Amino acid sequence: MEARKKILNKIQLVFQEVLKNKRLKLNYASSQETVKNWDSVASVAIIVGVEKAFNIKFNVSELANLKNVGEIIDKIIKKKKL
Amino acid sequence: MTEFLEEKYQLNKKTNSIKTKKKSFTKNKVKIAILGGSTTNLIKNSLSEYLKINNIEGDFFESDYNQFYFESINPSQKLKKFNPQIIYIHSTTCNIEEFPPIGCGNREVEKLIDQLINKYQSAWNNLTKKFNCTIIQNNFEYLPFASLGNLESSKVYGKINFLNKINLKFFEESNKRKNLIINDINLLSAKFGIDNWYDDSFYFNYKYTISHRAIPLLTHGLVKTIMSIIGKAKKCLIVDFDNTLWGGIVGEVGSDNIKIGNGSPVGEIFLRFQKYILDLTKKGIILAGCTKNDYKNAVSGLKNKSCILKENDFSIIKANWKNKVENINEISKKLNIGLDSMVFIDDSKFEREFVKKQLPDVEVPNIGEDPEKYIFYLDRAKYFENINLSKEDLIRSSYYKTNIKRENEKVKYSNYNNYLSSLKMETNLKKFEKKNINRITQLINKTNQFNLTSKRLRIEEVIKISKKQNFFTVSGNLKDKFGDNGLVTVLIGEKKNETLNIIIWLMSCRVFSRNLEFAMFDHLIKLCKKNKIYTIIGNYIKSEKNFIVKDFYKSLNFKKINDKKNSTKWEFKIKNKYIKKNKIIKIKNGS
Repeated sequence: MEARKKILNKIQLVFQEVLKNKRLKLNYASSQETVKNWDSVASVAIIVGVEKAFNIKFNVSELANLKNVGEIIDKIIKKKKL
Repeated sequence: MTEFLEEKYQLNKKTNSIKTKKKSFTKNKVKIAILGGSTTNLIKNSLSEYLKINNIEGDFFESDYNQFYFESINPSQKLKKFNPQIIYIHSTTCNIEEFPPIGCGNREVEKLIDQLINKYQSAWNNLTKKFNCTIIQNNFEYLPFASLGNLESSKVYGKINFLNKINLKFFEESNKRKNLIINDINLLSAKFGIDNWYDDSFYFNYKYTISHRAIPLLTHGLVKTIMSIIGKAKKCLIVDFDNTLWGGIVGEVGSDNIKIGNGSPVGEIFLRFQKYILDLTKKGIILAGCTKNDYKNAVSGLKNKSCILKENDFSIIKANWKNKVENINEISKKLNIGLDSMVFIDDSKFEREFVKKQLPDVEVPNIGEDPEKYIFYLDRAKYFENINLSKEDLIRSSYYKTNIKRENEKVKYSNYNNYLSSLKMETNLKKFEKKNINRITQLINKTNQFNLTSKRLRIEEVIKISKKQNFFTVSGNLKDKFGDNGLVTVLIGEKKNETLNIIIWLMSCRVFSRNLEFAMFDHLIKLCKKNKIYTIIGNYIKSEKNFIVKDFYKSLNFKKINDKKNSTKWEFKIKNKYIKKNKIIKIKNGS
């Protein structure tokens, strides 16, 4: 659980930078529907930021199936074997 | 690969947290339209950041996804309104609609090539007609997989064979067209590694035809090309000697024992580096030496028979015990080249930091500690990117060298006019000619000091003006007993009734104080009289660097008619009797 929380915080920083909103707070259920300005253009920049922050690379189907922040975190945990 | 990029461009650094160096010149603005064959948003963002680092403000238009061809043939209102100065066509191999079918014959392949070239030709033609601007066009990168193996290259229907032929045609087109620059992504992707250049996740999900990891490399190159287009490429390379050009300290080990040349690994590394620098001088980069040593000692290193760089290749060598900042300032003054046009390389971190701090305008790459890597840091930074090489570029170094000879001659004459007479100068002042348009455009965009208005023009604009009846155009060279300085002065005036308005008047810093400006003015008066013009209007527009011509019109007896904070307006009435100002330079068949 601790790991998930840590990852969430790190992801939050990426979102804040990309969406230019220092006060943005994320939770596991945050998705394009609930987060303001998270559109398809922002998505690309967010994924670039996440890949850099965790030094990972999502494969095609992983990227195609990311619905919300919780799923991004699951993928990171799986990839980093945390 | 990206390890050799200038630090500020490196991927893993957050670019927005990098403080841009405070530079003295004012911000340049440039309007760029990106016409993409794929998604381009990240490219635009990266380009914008890097332009900012180089003190250039980019204003962008982005075509809709994969609309590059449509926008070219049928520009949208938005693009028309934007009116770009530079168009970047980011098409890639993914945009090739049809590869030759396996097993097909030569004729079918040629047909496909023609089809594709025609498509791009019509895009370039139309954009040139509509916007009259510079076009940067990607060529095509290789593919990461090859079903035919080696046959992809050797057979006429092979995909690599096909791409090679198209790329060759693109290069030919760019040599034919003055406003088309090919951005060699084929080379770039090879350097980066073609397997890593593609990122399937980003291609299949977001339609990026280049990995975000490779984008900094792409945009860094683009920025340097753009800087070259707007006349911001570097002109002069200043090098330290000991442990930069050869291994060891010549003052201690003697010229026979420095490490240079074939026979030892380290000597060969320095030899390779010297060859690279020599090539730079051949394409017109001015080379200067700056080393802490006695002059005689320092030069003795260059006399080592394995050194490829000779004393003669340097326009100036500062070898003394003064600090390098002082010496670089002096080099800048002697050569009349601005500090912001200089790159300084030195193996000593101390010297680099010192120069960096004291002279923020000078580029000081961190070339590291391994001599074998110097060449990569210098090369990858692309300081000296050319979009073209004119005849002037190829022989530029010799101008600077003969200038130093002239300086020495000057000492012999007590009276400056006597000295000037001894030079036996000649000039040929004439209308802009087609064969000189490249050089004229280069001067218009690069000249900073003797430049009354600092107005910049793109090559298409210069060509247009040269064809118009209501414009006077004059360009001139200056020849003397030491050699020809080439085309060094340019004037453009606009005729309205009986008045001539001088829009551009400039002169290369190579020929300051030689009376060429007076010869030009005499010539202008002659032209005006012939065309029944009796008033000349001149403007001085202040820039960071042109203070030396602040009172230029006054010195020609113009009357000041308007005085604003950053500009002055001057008027000259032509009377019947005009006494020529130039008595020293011989005028040859001016027209």
